[in-house]
Amino acid sequence: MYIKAFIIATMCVIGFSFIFNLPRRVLLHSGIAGAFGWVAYTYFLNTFSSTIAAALIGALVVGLLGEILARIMKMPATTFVIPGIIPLVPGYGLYYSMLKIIERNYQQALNVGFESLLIALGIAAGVIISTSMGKLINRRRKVIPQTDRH
Amino acid sequence: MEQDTIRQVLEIAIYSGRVMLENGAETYRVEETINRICASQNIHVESFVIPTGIFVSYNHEAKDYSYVRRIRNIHIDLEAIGMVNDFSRNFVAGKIPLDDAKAKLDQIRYAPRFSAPLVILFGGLSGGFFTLLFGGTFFEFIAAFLVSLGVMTASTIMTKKSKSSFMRNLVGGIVNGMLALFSVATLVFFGITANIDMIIIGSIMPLVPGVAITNAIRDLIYGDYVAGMSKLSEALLVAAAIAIGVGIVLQLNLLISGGLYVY
Repeated sequence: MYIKAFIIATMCVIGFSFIFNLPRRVLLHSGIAGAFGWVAYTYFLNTFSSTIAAALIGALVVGLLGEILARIMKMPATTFVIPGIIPLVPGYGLYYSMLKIIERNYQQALNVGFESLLIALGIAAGVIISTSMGKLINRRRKVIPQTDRH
Repeated sequence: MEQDTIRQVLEIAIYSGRVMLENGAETYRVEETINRICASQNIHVESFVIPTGIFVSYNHEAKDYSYVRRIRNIHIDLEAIGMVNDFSRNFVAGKIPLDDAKAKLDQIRYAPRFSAPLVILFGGLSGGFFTLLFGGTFFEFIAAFLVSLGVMTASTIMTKKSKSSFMRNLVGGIVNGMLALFSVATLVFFGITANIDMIIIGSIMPLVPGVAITNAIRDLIYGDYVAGMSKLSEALLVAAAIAIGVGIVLQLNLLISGGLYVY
């Protein structure tokens, strides 16, 4: 089941990479990073049954893989992280909550809307933690300081 | 330092910041790039970046220099961000002479992108696979792929015609709703049961502002509150536009056919 999800998620991320104009040579890398994130997300969703914690861990996996790939491929980590978090990201929840407002179902709109915001918070936190970890490794190796301030 | 040199450096710095911001780079990355490019020429500027503009000021021998650049039309282009990142690193290391910098940035800004049909095809594929990812059946995958192709085409055309992201996403939502209804009706006609929500959940993915809201919260956590709030309102507005588009179609269907194919 996880293998099937892995393949499908890879295809989703690669498709999105075309929208984000990713360089051709890293299309597959970002797809695989995103797929690992999605598998981690589904696994922890099944164990913890908390979407927000699962999204945080999924984004953390994507972010760490992104940091590693960034060093191998010599590109900013964002190149892998932005397409990689696409399957986790709560865009549909946001749209759904707006649709419920139009249908005057305010209770459900609030529920879904707040959950979407918290999922986005979880993903943002996961990405920021991975970026900070990347910085720590950089400092230890005394490479040229990165542009980022965190 | 010569006044002309100062002006030239500031313009290069702001131009590279502009190319980054227009291609959807994070706020802090743009500010850092501007500051680093200036600092490498011994110019210590103060820069402030929000998604709709860049502000830079510099004080030299009791003279103030200030630059304001209004930024419109933000899309995400990760290749351009990477290229400007490389450019700024090389420039700071002194590998790019000041006079060549402008041409280099022009080259990045107008670099060839994936052709529109390719983006539409893969955006559509991605929409189809999202339906599978969220638990759709094979026929729903096919339907979502076709619907998503239509949505991507509409969105590409609207990007050229209109600068307003609200209009673009409204049209995208309407196209999405109509094609999804049509595809479900077709599937039902051939005796295949399909869930319209499953088709919409996948095919709407290329429009929906998921990355925008995550970036908004990332900016808020970093302390770029103005940038974060403006991205948050953009994300909410885009989501509202799509919901209005799809909502109109679904409500019309409810009025005309009494909610056939939907519930």
